[in-house]
Amino acid sequence: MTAHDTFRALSGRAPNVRSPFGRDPLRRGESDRHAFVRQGKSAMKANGPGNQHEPRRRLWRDRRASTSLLLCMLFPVLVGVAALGCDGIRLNFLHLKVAQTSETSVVAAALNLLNYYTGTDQTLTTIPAAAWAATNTIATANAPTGPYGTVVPYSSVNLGNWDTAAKTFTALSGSGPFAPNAVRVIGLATTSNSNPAMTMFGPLLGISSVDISKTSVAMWGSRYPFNVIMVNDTSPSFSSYNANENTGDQAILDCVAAGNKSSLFGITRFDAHGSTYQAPQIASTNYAALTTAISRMNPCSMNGSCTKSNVAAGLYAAIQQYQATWRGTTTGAVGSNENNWTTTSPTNTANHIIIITDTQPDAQNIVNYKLTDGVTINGTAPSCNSTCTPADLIAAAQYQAGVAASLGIVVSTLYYVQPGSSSSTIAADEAFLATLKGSAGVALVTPPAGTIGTYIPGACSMMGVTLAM
Amino acid sequence: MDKVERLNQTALFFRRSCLAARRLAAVARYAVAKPGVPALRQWAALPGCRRGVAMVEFALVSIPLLTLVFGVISVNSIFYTMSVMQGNALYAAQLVAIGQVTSNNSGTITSSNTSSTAVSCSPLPATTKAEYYACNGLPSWATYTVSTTENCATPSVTVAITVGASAAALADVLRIFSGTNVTTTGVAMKQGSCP
Repeated sequence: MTAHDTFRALSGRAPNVRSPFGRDPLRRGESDRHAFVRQGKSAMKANGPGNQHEPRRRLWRDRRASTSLLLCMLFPVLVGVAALGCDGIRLNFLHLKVAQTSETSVVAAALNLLNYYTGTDQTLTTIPAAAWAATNTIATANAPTGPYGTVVPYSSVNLGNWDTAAKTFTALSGSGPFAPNAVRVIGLATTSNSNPAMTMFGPLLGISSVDISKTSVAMWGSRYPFNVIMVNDTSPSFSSYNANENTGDQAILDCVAAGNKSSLFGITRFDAHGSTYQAPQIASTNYAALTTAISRMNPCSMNGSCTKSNVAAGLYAAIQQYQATWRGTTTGAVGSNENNWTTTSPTNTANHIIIITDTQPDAQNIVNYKLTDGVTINGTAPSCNSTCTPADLIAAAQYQAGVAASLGIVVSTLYYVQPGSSSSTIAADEAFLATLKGSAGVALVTPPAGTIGTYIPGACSMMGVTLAM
Repeated sequence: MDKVERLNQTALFFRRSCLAARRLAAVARYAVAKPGVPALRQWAALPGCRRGVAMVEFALVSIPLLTLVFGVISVNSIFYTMSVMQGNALYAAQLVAIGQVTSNNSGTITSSNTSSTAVSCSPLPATTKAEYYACNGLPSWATYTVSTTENCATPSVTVAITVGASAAALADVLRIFSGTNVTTTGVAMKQGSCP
């Protein structure tokens, strides 16, 4: 387009884009010079070789093949714009891939967080090997390392605690022992992780790669109410560890209250006999009262007897509390005859009993065992009174655990290892507790002189996993 | 004859040539030469004619231009299709993983039934099958196959969706993607035991 045409365009007249050879060169009063110049090739001859600038000027003003010329000039721009569009949607897909990998990996890690509690070292701030293996399997299955690099490296999987109120994740740091309830995974496609999202045509704009990252946190949590009744050992052997046991109750209360808001929490206790210390209440709304109850719990002085150990009695009391809850009757008012225990766990609730104990049952002739001690069950279970033997009480405990299972209650155990226990004692105690544990329950063990409150949160893994962020 | 006049005559010549060219179009149309005008002369006028130059230019530039347009449409369609497939694959895998869906195309998912054979998305599988959730809502311009696999070694569910890249490209006029398949895979950790 010549300057002349530009002038015409600006002055509101359509620029002349037609070939100059197809129309009258002396149209509409154009000056001779313009007409002359517009003649192109023939004008060159007329002009002669005298003016050396003339060919360049003619070339500049020549409007032949202007569309092709314009397109040639515009083509890199068109290609660039189109390519950036392609880059954009490709980056969008990569972001989806990184996000999905991050979310699936964090669920895999959280589902295996129980390994932290069943391991031997709770001062670790890193993910246990078994949990990492599962996490890595899922991560690489979703984002194969070939095309995507290592989207979830070991260092981007962090254990920690999720604060549901503040919506913050605090990674484990410092010295333990720790009780993590959440995992954070940061899916990475970044330069520092050696797998940035390379752009195909971004370098045209100086952007050769883009960093993509996605942070996901998964925590223990359940869609349905996760009810727990603690069965606390208050036998003489445990009297020195009541405070330790209380921290365990508190740890479970914390995770129950942080989960589904309709979850119930209660406590029963046992020595030779059993009783209900705290009837089940909604943990989230009664959290303060339940915390106070736990802190005041000193069952030996409360009960007055504190002799021997009969876990069947604690189980019996806990089952009774569940029955009362399910029937809607006054808590604890259910008849003592377990033949009435026909109501099973309601659907869409998870009902758990967690037993804390340090040994197998022991019996003494002077203790008068009653029906409510879980030992005389209409002749179908060990029926004994003052002559109950430890074997009778073991059988009674197993019977009660079976009753719980038949009602849909999941039994889990925490074995507190007394300092100085022999390995054979530990093995025998663990073997006994394994017979009480339900198929869906967990068996937790503290190291000698370990803290119950540190190890027992592993039971919260039964809540399942939910994404926190 | 001065310069201007000479130039004007030259222009007139070309103009006449174009008139001849226009006549040529009639020749082409009716396959009848203008009476009295030698056919060769009519054709000889063509090289000098500038009429229709815009059309010729457009024909030339449209080749790279349309390639570019269809290329952009193809690449974007493929990535869009892949995005939807990726989302669906993981969604279906998660539904199986959390136990909401317990069947795949081969029947109820059991420990001995860990994988299903690939099934087409058309017609849409039954809503009780995992494949339904992988197929539902995929772009309509392509056909897909889905397979669901349960892996009990690491309790997990894998859903893979495959589509022909050429069909997904929507406008693969140059058949660049012909014969290539695109597969997206979603893998979710299974909660609880396997199955």
